[in-house]
Amino acid sequence: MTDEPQIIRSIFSKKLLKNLIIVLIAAEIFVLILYFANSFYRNFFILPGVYHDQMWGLMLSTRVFKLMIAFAVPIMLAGMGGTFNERAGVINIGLEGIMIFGAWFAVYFTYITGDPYMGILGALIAGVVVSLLHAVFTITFKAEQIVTGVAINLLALGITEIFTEVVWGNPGRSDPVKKLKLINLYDLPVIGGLTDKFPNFIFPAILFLAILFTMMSLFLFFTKPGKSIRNVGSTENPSNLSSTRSVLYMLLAYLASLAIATFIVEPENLRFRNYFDVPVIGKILQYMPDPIEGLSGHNELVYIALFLVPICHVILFKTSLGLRIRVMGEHPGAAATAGISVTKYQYIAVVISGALAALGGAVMSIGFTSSYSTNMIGGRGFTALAAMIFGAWFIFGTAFAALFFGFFYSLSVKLGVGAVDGFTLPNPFLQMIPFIVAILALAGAVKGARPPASIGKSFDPES
Amino acid sequence: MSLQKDLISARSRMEGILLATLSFAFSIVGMIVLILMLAAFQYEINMNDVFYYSFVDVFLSPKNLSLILFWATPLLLTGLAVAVAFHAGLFNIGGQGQLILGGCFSAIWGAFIIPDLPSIFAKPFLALPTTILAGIFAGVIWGAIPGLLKAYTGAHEVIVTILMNQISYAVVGYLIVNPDYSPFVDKTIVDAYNQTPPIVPGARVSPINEFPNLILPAIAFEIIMISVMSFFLFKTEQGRLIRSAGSTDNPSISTKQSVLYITMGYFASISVAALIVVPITVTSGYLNPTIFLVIGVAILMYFVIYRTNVGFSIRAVGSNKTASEVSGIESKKYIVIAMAISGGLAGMAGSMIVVTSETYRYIAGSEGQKGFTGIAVALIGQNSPFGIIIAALLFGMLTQGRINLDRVTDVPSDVIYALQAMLVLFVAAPLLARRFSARVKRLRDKISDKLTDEMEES
Repeated sequence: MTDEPQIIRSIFSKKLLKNLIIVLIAAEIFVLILYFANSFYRNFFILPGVYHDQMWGLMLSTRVFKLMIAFAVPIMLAGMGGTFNERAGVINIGLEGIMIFGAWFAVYFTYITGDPYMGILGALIAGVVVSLLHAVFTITFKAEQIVTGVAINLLALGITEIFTEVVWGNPGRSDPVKKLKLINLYDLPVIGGLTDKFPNFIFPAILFLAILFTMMSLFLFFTKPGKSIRNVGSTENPSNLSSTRSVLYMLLAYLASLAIATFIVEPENLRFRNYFDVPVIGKILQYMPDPIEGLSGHNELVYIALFLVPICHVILFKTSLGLRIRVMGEHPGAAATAGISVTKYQYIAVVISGALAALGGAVMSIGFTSSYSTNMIGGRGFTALAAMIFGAWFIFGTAFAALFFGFFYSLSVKLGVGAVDGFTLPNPFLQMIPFIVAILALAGAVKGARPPASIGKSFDPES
Repeated sequence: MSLQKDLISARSRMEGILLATLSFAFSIVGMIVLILMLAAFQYEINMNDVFYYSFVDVFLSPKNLSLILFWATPLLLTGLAVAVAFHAGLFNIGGQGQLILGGCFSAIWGAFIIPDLPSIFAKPFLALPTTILAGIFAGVIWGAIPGLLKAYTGAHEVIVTILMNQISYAVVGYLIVNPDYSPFVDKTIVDAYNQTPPIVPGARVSPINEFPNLILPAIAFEIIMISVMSFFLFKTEQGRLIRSAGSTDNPSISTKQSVLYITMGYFASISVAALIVVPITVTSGYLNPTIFLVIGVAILMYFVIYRTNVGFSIRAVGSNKTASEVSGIESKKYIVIAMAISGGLAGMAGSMIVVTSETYRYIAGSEGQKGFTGIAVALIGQNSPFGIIIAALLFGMLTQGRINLDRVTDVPSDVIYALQAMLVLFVAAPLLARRFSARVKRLRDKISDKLTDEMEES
């Protein structure tokens, strides 16, 4: 079995299985804690079987998954911003404040221009300006970074309140403005299919693609040039595949291409619910959240945010700009010795982070609701910081942690409306869940993760 | 990560005062810029009103003066809470959450538990201390959790305390907000929410408003007291020692002596404060005596931080964790202790709000931003308990100014919150003030050189 790619081997290795089992056990413990909390609260034990069935059903339901994406995105954006920041050695507790500014200015610019895209622009401008303030104080004037961040949070609370009162006349809530558009994935040109546009195109398209893929596989597996191409790919093991195996692969490629072609022209086939009557897989699919359905129907910024994840990763870890930013957090002295301006790259990182966090605020205000209100952000900037630490200062880690926290936010909302029979834990307990999970994650995750070496210290070339 | 304390705390007392003053000036400039910016966008805020009501009017009536002291009471405690954690190199942003829980629990103790206890608990000498202790207890628990997490798992205390603030809002939300499920909400009022019932009368501290026959003897007593005290302080050897006890560089006296002297200093300062403040404010009927208790707490904290083993260990852990561990101080233990003390002080601030509030109950949200303002108080006060007393009075003034603005004008009173935030921002950057003052000094030297040159020429 040496010819399988590395990734397949790692999937079936023991480590992943072990982690999966740990996650499942943790989730089960979480479910049990909720069960006992509810039982003690009501002095009454509900049927554990029914409770388990419904609770797991809820946790794996598509609506929780969909709301998880929505709640994760602001945290994800701010968390990625925080990653840029801290990788450059600057702590930014003020992310929450920048999110508040972003949310407010998004609403304000939309209110003035009537165009939510201008709102996004306004949020970006506000984010850049406020983060520049943070940068000037922490980098140029070497202020204590945590205190500056706290000041920015306080400033955001005070100033947005003043602005709300002078602009809309009533404290605490803005007038409603136009929201961002919602995008239904099934309506998009490519994923959304060609059915409506070219009604007679379906069968030729499938046939064409299938033949194309078959020809490709034939070429790859049965001709001399194909063999050498494959040899280029696997440098370690340039031996031939056995011919039965290659036939198998060819068939698989054919089926896959057929499936892809089918989904492109008929996107309804992507929905899980079309397969519920398939004997075994259907039962499993019934319990799984439908990923495409969950990803569909969000506002535009959500998709922008999801696309920003790999882009940010590339910028931070694959470009020279990213390398320089990361050096500022590890050893600014070395960078300064090599003639790289520490101040410049720290400024760049802080400004990127401000723009991302403000975008996160804009998602909250003109994305999910249509107005700004006090306490709208509600500690999401702080959760983003927790997500950043939980993600060990990596972009993908942070994004994953944001999804993790988003899941608990989403669960705390969806649990409240009598989703599980006999589950009547009051709302405040459910509101605590994301924060308690964040604290536990911080307490558990920190041992493995290492912050950038010179984080929180202002760079002083003379010392 | 240890806080860069040399950046926050000043190098000398004079520099500290200079930094605080300059930061205050900068933040006022910042507020003017903010208002002008709004004016440029045709959103008018009456600047005259802002400055008159927040900086002038607050000194013009005895009522306002006594309310400044009243608002300063919880701020002094939250400022001390932040300062104690600072001394251990920790940043306790959770003052808000600890304050909320402190207030909530002391109200629950005073309103629900005391009536069920033997009637002796309802007497003032037991009811008031136990109510305050309940608040301290809640704060200690809420402060010790981040301390434990920081010490034993390394979770960053800043983020943990912030997240615990959010949790404490939810806890209070469960305990007292919704009549449907909250066990401690005031159910005697129809559609009441957000508040506990009033605490028992024994636990209340009402403003001093009637001892008309005492004023003249009090003043006479104070004058005698002050003259004796000042003679003692400035003309005798013991007085010199007391004065040197204030300067930490010269701990030349023994602990026992310093306890004695600090106690005497406390009474002396109370007398001074009483001499100045009581005659003016007592007639207004708004002077709340808790301020004197809280000043006592500040002096106690000074003693704890600078004159005890615990305080020494806390400061050692704060200045260099590794070195203190090498010399045998268990840093983990003292991190937890510092956070617990810090939380207890913030919790006490909450119970102070409850026992002195107008309706003698805890109302969710009534604490405003006092927990966060404590950070500003500690920074302005340079983390020294005596500095914090002054800073708390300053912020008490700002709070009263905000209330005046709210009551009299239609200016958004949040300008004061913005001002406080700018104050934090500028205090965090002493380099700014230092550069500014250095530039001023250079300019002054240049001008004086020029003047002397001109004078010599002429």
